[in-house]
Amino acid sequence: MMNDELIRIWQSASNEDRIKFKKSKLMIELQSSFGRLHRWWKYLELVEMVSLSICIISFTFITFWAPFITVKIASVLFIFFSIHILYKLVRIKKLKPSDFEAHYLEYLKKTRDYLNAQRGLLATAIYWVVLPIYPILLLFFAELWQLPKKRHLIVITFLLAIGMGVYGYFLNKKRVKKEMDPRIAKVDEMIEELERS
Amino acid sequence: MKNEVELRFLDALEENKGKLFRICSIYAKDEDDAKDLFQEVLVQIWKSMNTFKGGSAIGTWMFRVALNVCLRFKSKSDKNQKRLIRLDSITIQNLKNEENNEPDTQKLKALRSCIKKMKEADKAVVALYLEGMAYREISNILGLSENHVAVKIKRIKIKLSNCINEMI
Repeated sequence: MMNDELIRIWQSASNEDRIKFKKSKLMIELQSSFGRLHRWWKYLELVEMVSLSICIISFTFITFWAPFITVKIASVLFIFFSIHILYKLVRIKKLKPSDFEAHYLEYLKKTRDYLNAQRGLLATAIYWVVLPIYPILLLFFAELWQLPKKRHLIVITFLLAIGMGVYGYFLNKKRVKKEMDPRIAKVDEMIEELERS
Repeated sequence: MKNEVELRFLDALEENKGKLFRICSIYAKDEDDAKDLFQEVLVQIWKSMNTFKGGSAIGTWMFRVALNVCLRFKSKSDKNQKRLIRLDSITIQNLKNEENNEPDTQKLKALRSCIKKMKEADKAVVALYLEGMAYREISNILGLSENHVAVKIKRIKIKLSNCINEMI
């Protein structure tokens, strides 16, 4: 088949699809959808910032007002822990390929880097989110254990934390296996295919 | 200034809408999917319009954005995380109800079907080639060298021709 023939056949498809748009209405819709995206993104950032701020303010308050020294130390550790999590999330967010103007290959590579970073974050969450929480919680409750009335609350909180940790671990493992790994493999395959002659 | 951007966008859209829609149809599962993807492409092009510096032709730039959006859309649809935008002002009418048996229509069907079977990376190359773009422009969009593009296209053309001949 001749080169030009392939092109001619392909371009004849435009005879099948008639695309029409009302100019004025289109512009209003585009402006509004852009605003919607922008607001959604802002909302996400706001939720993260507010959650972190509440956490930091609460533990700062506990640090100053708690009667026990171990509770104070644990609260300070909780504050550092929260800041550390936020730092990790912000660092990942910076890798997100938002530049649609990049070369296709460049965009694919950025996507791969972002997916790999997300994968790394999920796969190692047990070490920097789940496991560090337990010694801090132990420290937090160590002296409170002396108060018999609080013991059942401490046990319930600890069991809940363990349950959530186990659930989180398996959930992340599943996400890595089912969602991240196939997508990374797919992008890898596309890059390899594009670079190969 | 805003009107200037709007006018430039509308002119470029009028000129390239068919090409953009055909690229979307390559990456979409079906017709409805292609319409959704086309709308998403328009939103992203509009969103990036202010950053267009004029380093390349506006059509080339639009294709670059479109391909990257198609790629993102695909990974989103794989994850069932579509967050699509509906633009009521756009209508896409399909006029193929005549169902004619002209050889070209059959060839077009075969060509579309063959492209769908291709690997994702090859789809991007073939989409740009079939839109009649020069190797230099394709290399500019894909981030590959012109020679590399030429070699790839030669290989893809042979594959496509064989596939179409087998189907017809």
